[in-house]
Amino acid sequence: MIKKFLIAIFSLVISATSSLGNEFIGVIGVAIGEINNQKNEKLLSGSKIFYGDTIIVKSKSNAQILFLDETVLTVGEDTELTIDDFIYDPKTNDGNFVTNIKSGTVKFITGKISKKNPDNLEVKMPAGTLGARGTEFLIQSNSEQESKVLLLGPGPNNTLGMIPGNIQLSDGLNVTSITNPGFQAMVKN
Amino acid sequence: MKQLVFIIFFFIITQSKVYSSSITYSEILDNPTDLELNLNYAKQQEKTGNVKSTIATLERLSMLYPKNTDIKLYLLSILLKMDSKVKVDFMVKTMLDDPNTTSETKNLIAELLLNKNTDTDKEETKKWIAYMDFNISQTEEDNISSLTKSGKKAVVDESGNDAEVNYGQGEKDDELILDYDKTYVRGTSLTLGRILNQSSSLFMNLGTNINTNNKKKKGESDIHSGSISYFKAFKNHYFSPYVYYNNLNYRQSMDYQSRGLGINNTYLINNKFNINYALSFSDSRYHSRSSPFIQETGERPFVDAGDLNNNEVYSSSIRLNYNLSNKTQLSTRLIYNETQHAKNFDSYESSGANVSVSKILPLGTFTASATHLTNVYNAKKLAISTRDREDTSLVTSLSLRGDVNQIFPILRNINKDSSLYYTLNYRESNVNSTISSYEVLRSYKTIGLSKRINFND
Repeated sequence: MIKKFLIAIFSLVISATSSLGNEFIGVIGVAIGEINNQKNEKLLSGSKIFYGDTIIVKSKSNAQILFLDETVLTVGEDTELTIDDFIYDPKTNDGNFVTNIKSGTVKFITGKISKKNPDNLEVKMPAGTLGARGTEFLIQSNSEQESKVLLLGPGPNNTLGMIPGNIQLSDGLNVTSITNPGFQAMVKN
Repeated sequence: MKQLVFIIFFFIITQSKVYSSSITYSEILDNPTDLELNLNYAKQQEKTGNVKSTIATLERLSMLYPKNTDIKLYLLSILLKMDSKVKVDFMVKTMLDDPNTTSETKNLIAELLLNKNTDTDKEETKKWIAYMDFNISQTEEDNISSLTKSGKKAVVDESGNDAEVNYGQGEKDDELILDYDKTYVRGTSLTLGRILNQSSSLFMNLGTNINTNNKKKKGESDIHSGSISYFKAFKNHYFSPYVYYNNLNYRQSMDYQSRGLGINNTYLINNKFNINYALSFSDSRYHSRSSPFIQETGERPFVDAGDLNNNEVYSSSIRLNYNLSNKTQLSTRLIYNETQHAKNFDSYESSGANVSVSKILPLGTFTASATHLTNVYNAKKLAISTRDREDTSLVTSLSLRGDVNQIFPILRNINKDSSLYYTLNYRESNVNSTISSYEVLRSYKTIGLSKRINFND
């Protein structure tokens, strides 16, 4: 009886995981040059992105990734990132988004998950982690030791009714905030 | 600008299909590269206020269609509204560096940037500036009563001839006539400024000063002042007309009110040279109840003897400034003034020149200045001399002004906003005259501190 129950539970978990893996969480909006995933499959404009995918943008290439919650990542050349977690409920805009940037340059335009709860957007970098509140920012990680973060906007005098955002950057011990567009901070190991 | 708006509008219209309903994000995910669909989506999102989505869409289209400058101009117009200097600078640089960018597109970029600046001007029209200054200073003067260089004064003797006599017995020892004294000034002023637009502003200043002496009571005063000035720039020409009113309450002397107006304009010839020219008029009215006389009937009618000191002054000057470097400026100024006094023998014409050099040093700004003036008086003062009066004066000064942090770096912890300033000044005035009573040598040493509180911070 117990054996049947464990098999049933195991089957359910496998089924759920399989189902989760098959649901796309975003698409490649633009793919210029050589863009691959962790399976070394070539990604083109319109290709779907799935939970746990790793995106590898090779030299002289770049891409834009659109996520279901309207978070948009513009990815520069020689960049590798993994979607560690993406859960999104379009009815409530609740969710969680964790990205791990292993190297390269990525520009973020935050989406609805961050808008609903800024703490639910996390970006891991080689030398620290980052949380963002309703904004646009750029991350550059050229080595395992160092990452730079630049807050792009919007500015305080924007005429679009946009609320200036901020970034909280942590190296695991210390936390610093960037609140002024055009300012950048660096974390080192 | 019209052309730019037309191009963007035309571009949006011509590139668009008519979509019966609003475009959903799902449609974009299904067709992220469709120019028409995405452009309409960008415009639709802009209208609904979801500008981040507009930016992301236009950036995607810009990547897909890198030669389409209309998309880039549309994106640039959004980035300007977004107030992201970093992105605007990058976008403009990328477009200008692109060999495919035509001169027409470059002009359109310039128009967009100019239009942004105009918008900023409109925002600045609401801007007020307000600050308050608190000043204290001490001046040591070695000849506060203007004793003559010869130690004698001119008189007309009983036979009507010019003569010189010593000062009266004890005259120099009382509180009226002294050699050395210290003057203390405590003052405060409030300045309110209104930025009207990028090229003009209006300022109002209200101030009060309390001047006291260590020994000599005559000359102590309370001064209340007010002024309004307007500033306007026309390209390289800066105009600044002003009006002012001063009320001087002398404790042991005649009070007077002075009012005036003037202009102080500057024309920038180039980075090295500029010309400053100034015209002003002042009218000073004295009031005194200190000289009543008793009539034979015993009545004491009021005689406002102060009226005899009323005067009007017309001043003019033109100055050429030469910036020898970013830290050194040379100036030369021609001066012409005319004073019309109620007593004709105190009316005179004044002409002369000033030269000065200013240099920014690590400790502050150092200025050395010399002014030579010749004053020709209209009439003889027969009670003193039968000669025509002509004075020549040479005033030299050395000053150092700056932030106290520059001379005492340790004060940075206290004076964090660098709003405490110091002044050190040495001035010497040497007057020669055709009449010995006016030949006076005086020197002044001043040390002052000024604290500014900005209400805009």
